Amino acid sequence: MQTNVHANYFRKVGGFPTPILHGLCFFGISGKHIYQKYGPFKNIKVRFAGTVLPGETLVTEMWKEGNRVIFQTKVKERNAIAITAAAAELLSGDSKPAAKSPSGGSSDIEVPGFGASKVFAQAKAQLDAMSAQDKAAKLKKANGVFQFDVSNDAGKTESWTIDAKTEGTIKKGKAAKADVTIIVKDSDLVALATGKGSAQSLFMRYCFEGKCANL
Amino acid sequence: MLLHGEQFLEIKKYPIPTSGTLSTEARIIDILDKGKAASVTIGTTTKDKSSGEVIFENQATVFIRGSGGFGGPSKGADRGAATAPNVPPKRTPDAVVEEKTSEDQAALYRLSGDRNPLHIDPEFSYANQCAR
Repeated sequence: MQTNVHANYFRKVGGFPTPILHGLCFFGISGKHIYQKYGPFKNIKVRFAGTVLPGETLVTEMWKEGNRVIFQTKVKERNAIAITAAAAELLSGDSKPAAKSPSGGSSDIEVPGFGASKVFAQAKAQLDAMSAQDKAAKLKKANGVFQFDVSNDAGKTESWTIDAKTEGTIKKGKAAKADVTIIVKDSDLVALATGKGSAQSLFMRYCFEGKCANL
Repeated sequence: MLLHGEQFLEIKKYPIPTSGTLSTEARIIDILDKGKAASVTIGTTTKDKSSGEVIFENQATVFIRGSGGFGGPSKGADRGAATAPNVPPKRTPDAVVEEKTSEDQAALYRLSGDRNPLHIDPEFSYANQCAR
């Protein structure tokens, strides 16, 4: 399989073969790209169709089809296919809103012009996916209602509320009674949530450990 | 020589626990005859050892060159998302992400426990390429 890929590869390296990258390694990197664009997924399938050499550039092309993201991954330098016949099924797809939450799908949370709204939507997806037992444990630990007043570059302000006290919900709008109100720039909140790779887990951890005031 | 052909991963528990002891059990799902090569699909179930809760399901298909021709079936059963053809639509992609891997990426990935010398030893990988 993939004899042509290897032939190119030998030409490229000029007779000095380099060990190839693990399939599961670029599988993981492609999965990260889907996560960056569409958030958490419940399953992922790939076919390894070609080799990748350490140092090469991966290009993941994605097509969103309902709740699934069909994708393929290429090696930029050789315009060669590395992954085909691949797809991931999203944890919270907008094709079936309100499937898991009586308060509605993520579209209720997302607001154009606010990157932070995507962070809240992802955090909500993760929260909704928790078992009741896990949720109760988290609520007990955090025990607070956090209101975020987020302002964007256009000078608009929107609010989101994380109720980590009674309901265990994340929704758009102000809290009836907030224990902590955080005033933050949209760009700062997004940078915080995405800066360390695991976007919503960092964000969730902050909030559910009651450290939102540190934002 | 063995090649990794396909991989299916299902994350059964969100968020993924950040600590705990995992226990993984493996089973053979399919052994197919692809002529020159054999295709073997292995299923693994990973559980939290203390609670017994399933965290991950994996299905890995490997090609073993030179092991085919034993008269087995050439096509396996439909296993849903794990065997879906996933043909991309004709339109341009909705999103594209580009990322350069590092020169030491394979050495770094080795820390995950995959010690196959194909990924680290130039002489071994060269010998494998030549043998085909």
